Amino acid sequence: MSEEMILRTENICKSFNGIQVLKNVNLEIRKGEIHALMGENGAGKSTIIKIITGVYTKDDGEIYIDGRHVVINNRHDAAEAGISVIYQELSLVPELTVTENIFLGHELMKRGLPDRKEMRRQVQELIDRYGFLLHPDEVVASMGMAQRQMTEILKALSTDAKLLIMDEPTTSLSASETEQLFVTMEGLRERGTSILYISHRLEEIYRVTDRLTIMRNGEVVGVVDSKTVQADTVTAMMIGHELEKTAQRTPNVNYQHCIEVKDLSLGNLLHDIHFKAYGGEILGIGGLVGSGRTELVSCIYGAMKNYKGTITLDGKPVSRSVARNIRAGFGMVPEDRRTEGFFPQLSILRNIAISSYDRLSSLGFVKAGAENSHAEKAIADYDVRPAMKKLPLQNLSGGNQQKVILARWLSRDVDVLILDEPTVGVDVGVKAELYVYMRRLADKGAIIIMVSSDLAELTEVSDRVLVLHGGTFFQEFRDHQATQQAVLLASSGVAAKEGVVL
Amino acid sequence: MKNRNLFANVWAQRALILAVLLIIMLIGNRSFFSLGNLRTILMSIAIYGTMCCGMLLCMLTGGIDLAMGSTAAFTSVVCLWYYNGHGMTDGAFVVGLILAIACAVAVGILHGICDAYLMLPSFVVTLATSKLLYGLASALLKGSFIHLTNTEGFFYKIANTKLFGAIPMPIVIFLAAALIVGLILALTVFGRRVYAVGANRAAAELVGIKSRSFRVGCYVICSLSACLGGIVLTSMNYITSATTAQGYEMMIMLALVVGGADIMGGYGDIAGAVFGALLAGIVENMIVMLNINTNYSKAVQGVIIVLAVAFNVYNNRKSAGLIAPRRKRAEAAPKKEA
Repeated sequence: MSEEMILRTENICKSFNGIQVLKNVNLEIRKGEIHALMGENGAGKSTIIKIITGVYTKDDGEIYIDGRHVVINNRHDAAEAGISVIYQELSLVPELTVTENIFLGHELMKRGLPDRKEMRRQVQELIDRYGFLLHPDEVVASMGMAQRQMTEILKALSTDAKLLIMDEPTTSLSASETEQLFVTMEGLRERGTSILYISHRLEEIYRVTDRLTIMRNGEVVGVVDSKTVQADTVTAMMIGHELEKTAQRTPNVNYQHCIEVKDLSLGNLLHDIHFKAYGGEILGIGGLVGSGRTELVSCIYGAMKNYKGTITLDGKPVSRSVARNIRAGFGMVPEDRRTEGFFPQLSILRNIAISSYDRLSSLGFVKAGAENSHAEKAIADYDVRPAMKKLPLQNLSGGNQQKVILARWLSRDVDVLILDEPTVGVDVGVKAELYVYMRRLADKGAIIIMVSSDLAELTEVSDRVLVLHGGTFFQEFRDHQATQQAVLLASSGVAAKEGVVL
Repeated sequence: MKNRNLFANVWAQRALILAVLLIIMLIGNRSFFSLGNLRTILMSIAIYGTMCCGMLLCMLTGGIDLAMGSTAAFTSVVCLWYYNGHGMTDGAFVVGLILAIACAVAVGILHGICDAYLMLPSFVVTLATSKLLYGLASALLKGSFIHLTNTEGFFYKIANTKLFGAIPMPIVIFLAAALIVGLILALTVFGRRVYAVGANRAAAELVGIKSRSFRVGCYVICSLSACLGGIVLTSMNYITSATTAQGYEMMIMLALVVGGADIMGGYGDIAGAVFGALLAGIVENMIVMLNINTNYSKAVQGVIIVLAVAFNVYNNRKSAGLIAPRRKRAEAAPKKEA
């Protein structure tokens, strides 16, 4: 590794609608190093990447490649400068071979026909040079995720990329595939290619990177050496100064009313899950994306049925049928509101009433008056805007769509409410409102289970936090012990002193 | 408010289309407006109009049934074959009808399972069963026709009586089917859930709707409406064969799409479906009344249908916010120049 910089940015600034998302970002990546970029959601990681790769234009600042000042206005300029991005969702054509994918769009021609022989030779040469486990004639659809990623990397290398940017490349890989990728990355490093690596996983950062830039609120807060830095230093830098908790509430927990999960396992994703969620408290479930949180709550709700183990509500077994559970007082706000939460073409009224026809009908006929007043009351109670019950839900803002989905359950006074990432894509004002509604329901004695990746939300809104790591609960934080840093560490399998290791 | 405007717009556009056609006829041929001609138009759309009502449910849940015509043919052949083979009594008709209904239910279940459970593309599956059913009907009749000769029996009377001595039964059946499906969609929990399943299957599952069995149910209703159409058509024509109602599924699809239904599900209503069927009937009738060369008649039909569909697609996109209001576009334009 040399001290020469492959990429240097100087005081990059960017604002969206008057809100500054990047403030004087200086990023320096050396030749032949694997450099990690870390930060919480919204820290500005993807914005800076998009500026470097020409997706966004910067408001201010300069970019230098190999010491030369460059202007990057579009993706083409970035590729010209030798910057290549390996996207999470791979951009390969599954039906084509490795060679065809690599030369897609710039095929070598000979007498007006593609020169397959020459292309294949060049690809084989690349494969040999970097020692990838690939065959130039293999069809992409028949390959595993790790090999697809290698193909993507090879495609980047074929255009003489000097800097590879990898955005969370391991999310869709298994443990052994991840290891394969790391070996590939190390090989590239030896040959002098620089890699900018974005990940949330601390253990990966230690495993494979040389240096680490940490961002927070659109600023670079530190550049450290990955080999020497401590995990808690990194998390502290990512989160910054934690606000002192305001007025510790003591929730009115009813220990008689509880959901108990015993011995739950699901495929090879979850095992030995034991916990209780009590009436009157908001139980937070933390962990990394892909750690099985969504699947766990889907099992409780009955949406996933192929689990082993027992789930009981007040001692009685919980059904594996969603319809039966809803009648028993369950409700769920799913993770992805667009794909599983709401009915875009249907009106606000129908979106609210859809879960409550057991009460709003007789003999299969909808009681139109009751349906109307039920929805009107919900719209007023939960301040849905615009308060037009006939408006299709697709015309509402994200926050108001989420209010409608929440109102669907709150309006029928559910007894068990499961929330999966309840405030993703919701603006700050509406977020606070949603928390008030959740707390109000808890105070009525309902059991609330909330999965969240938003550390501030998880630590401040929940009364108790359980953190999933490696397919089971790793640590429990009671009585407001949960700090963002501790939860983040526990998500990566590092026990923090505050919580109870399970 | 916005929504109400949009609704008004849809009907305003429909009225506009009708008004244009009516003005053409006012100039072209006044006899178009006779009561007798209205009856002719309604009779021409009664059968596939009836089948539209079943297909609407299927389409609302995101399904499609291209075997409607062949289901009608097969079930009517089964019914008449049994009827003729068992003494042409009303009792034989009832048994034949039950057989036909059983066949329709089986076909519907098959379609539903293939689509909802096996996740096979429904238009391929139904196209395949369409071939299958035509083949079976044709084998049953050894490729020939089968006549309804008993003009005294109930089978004959289905289509050949008039309500209040004026309205032919097929029209009554069509309007009744439309009314029933309309009421189901507007008033029942089932109707609410049909829209929900069509709008978002995953979300429907999470509010406790068994979306798969729901879709199977809608395919069954769809096949039953085809069976009803086939029986009435047979009674109307005193004859049926493997090619009865051939190509009706296309007329049905067109009527529904012209009537504003979304092929992807979740959007559409019975009023639109009836409008679509009516428009198709009027256009066909106009072409005859105006003595347009039959060589051009199909082309004229095509043009009118494309226009109506274009109107619908435009409306749907506008309501989904995909098309900017005209004012905004005007504002955006000068910026580009600068």
